[in-house]
Amino acid sequence: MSAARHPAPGGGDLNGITGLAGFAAGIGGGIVFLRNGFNLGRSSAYKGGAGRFSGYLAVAAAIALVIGVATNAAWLNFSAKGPGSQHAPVFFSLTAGIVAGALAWRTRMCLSGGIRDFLLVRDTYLLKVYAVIFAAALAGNLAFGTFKLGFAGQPLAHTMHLWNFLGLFLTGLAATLAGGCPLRQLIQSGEGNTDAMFTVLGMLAGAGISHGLNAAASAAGVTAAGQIAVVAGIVMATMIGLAFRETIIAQAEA
Amino acid sequence: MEKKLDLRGLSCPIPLIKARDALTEAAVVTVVVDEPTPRENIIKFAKSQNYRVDCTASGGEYTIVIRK
Repeated sequence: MSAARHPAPGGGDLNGITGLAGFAAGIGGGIVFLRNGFNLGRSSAYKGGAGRFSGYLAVAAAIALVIGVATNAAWLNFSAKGPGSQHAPVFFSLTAGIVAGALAWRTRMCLSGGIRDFLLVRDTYLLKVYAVIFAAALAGNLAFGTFKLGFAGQPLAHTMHLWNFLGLFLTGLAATLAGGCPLRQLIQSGEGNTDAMFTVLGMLAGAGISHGLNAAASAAGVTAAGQIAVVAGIVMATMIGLAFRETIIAQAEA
Repeated sequence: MEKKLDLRGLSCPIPLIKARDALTEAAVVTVVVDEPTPRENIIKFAKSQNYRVDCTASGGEYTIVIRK
């Protein structure tokens, strides 16, 4: 699904701009639901029982995955071809991941939050982090000679503008309703937030199902199944945005 | 008029929206949050409006008093 790909204007891929516009529009849609009382209710900390250990599950899974990758474990299926197989040496990936994760944690970076906070209260703090990420991607692409300005022939990107827009519209809408973007959910799950951990599990399941149902997009474009999945996702997210309002929650609790 | 809000456990940006809405109705708003992110967002918003802000922390909870 096109929603799974992050916009990449730092590499000169102008499809990223279409996607980014869709992302911002989706966040705007999410804000409309928030203004109308969208609320998933209060979270609370586990005070005792086995539940208080659940916050460590995400970290335990991450450590198991690192060990699995480092030892070429049989329980992992490694991609032999395609984008999944074209990765940096694991050591460099891990080091870069730790640095990026630490920075995202300390800055509380949230891609949907940056646009959301600007639209809501004109707060530009997270947009400045956006600027840093864009500058770093641009510098990296220029340094390695991979910068290529244009829409066509971009790595992994297709030029179906409507679906680039709608895919990221769905991402922005869902991220705003979930309280944070995929990056932020990942960081929060590492902080022991089990709500965020379930969001990450949902993303993994969604990615798996997309590939299984041939709904994942590629450079060739978005499949019919992918188009159906994006529209169905927007309908679902809209229904969730309408269904979970405070008035309804208050009645349910009374 | 004063308002007190318990915003603990609510996901972003609901605490900020509720604090801002309360400030349109009351001159003094006291909110309780339990995460650093909403604390920072609410303090930053209040300062951007030139409101006076006091924040006290205890036991992982933050009490923020905003005066217009």
